[in-house]
Amino acid sequence: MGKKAQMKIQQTSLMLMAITILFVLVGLFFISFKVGQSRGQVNSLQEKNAIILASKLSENPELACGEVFGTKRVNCIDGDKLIALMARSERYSNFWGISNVEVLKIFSPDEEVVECTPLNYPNCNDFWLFNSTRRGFSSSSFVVICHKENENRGYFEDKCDLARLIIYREKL
Amino acid sequence: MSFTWIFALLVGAFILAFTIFALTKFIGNEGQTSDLSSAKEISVLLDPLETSFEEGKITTLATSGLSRIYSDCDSEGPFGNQGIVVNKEIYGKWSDNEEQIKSQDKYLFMNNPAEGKVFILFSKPFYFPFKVASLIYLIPDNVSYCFKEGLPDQMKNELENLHHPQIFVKNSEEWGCKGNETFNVCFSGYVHNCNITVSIGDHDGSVAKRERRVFFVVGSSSIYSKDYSLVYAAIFSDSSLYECQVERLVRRTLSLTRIYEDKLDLPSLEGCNDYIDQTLYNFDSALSSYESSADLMNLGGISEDAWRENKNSPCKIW
Repeated sequence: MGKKAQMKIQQTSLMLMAITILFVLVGLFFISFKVGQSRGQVNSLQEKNAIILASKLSENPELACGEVFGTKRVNCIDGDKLIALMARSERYSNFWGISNVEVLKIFSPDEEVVECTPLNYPNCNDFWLFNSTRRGFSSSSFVVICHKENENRGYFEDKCDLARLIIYREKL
Repeated sequence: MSFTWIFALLVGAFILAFTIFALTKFIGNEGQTSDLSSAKEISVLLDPLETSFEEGKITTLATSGLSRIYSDCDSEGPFGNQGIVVNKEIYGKWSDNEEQIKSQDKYLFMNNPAEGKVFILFSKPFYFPFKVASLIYLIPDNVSYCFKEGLPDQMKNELENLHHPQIFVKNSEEWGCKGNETFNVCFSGYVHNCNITVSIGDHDGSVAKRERRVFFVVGSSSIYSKDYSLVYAAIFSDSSLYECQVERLVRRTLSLTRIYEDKLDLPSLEGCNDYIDQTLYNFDSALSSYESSADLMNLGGISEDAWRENKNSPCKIW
């Protein structure tokens, strides 16, 4: 094989290598762009879902007041049911597809945040369904949280407070 | 032919093959992404249907092209899963996406697969005896259900008030049931030309379709009204899908029953358990041994007792 032919082979190989590298780079750029776009789409759908969920979660049978406090109420959370649900929250960890739910009573600035447990309930103002960690983006809605108090034997009084229902959802 | 030419042709063919392969993969992935995105959008669309504001209203879902929607159900995990799969027709060929968008809190009843461009959805709350979930029904706009004589008055009113374009209820004045595919729904006593036969009693009943019978319970949603949500579910969905979804609903009912049992143990509600405690425990153990919809016949009575006891209790627990 002559020197000229060898030179040509080298030139062709280099050319082909350059084209391959260009293809690979364009491919990589395109894939990363598409992944980013899909991730954005998923996050946007998740966010949309979280906003809808924040407004509808209080209507869920696991939290809703139903007819416990007189006639059927909307945007009302049964505090007694919520504290009972917190003890069984492990079963619900993937149920709504969210990372956490917080119900924070609206209180005056001189009061402190007291996390609710079965031991201090109802003398508390902050309920965490799964654990007390804030993860991902949040969306919230205003609700009423009610509970019953046994005033005298056989006489129950309904007590209600304004609260914020906050939903936490992890970002991709 | 010189070596340079052979070498260039070989490498060129390789690059061309690689590009075609990558392009085919990319088009396939795009199709799958589009199907998954549609399934997720349907899943998000189902959310508002679960709120009490949207119950008993129809919602229309329009897709960009001819689509097939599959409602999949499995009983894995504590509450089972609702899966939604969407396949689209592209240039006369159906996409073969099998990836599902799963959720644990949804119950979609329909005949698999639902094919069309427009789908009509509505929901009804399911009480057993407390509210357990909202059941969602999906019917493509080319399928009609013709309800013949004999259905209970409340069901007739509910269906008429729905103003669903594909649901026809027979009355003496007008009867214009039409559609590409029609299902005649007959009630006890009327058996002429029926695709679906419903036997309905005061508290329970059954639906027979193509040799298979499934059972339902008719609970009380208030003093004045009954809950026919499971009757609609049995009519509008496949028997196997119905059985699976009812099993999931029973699991959720059991979980809610246990939450109510724990609620009764709260010190602030001392005295409440005198009114309902035992019935709730009986309901718990009956739910624990659930195997198929035939067991609903037994559960219906206990559920009705629990509903009555709670209704008459000075401290209602739901």
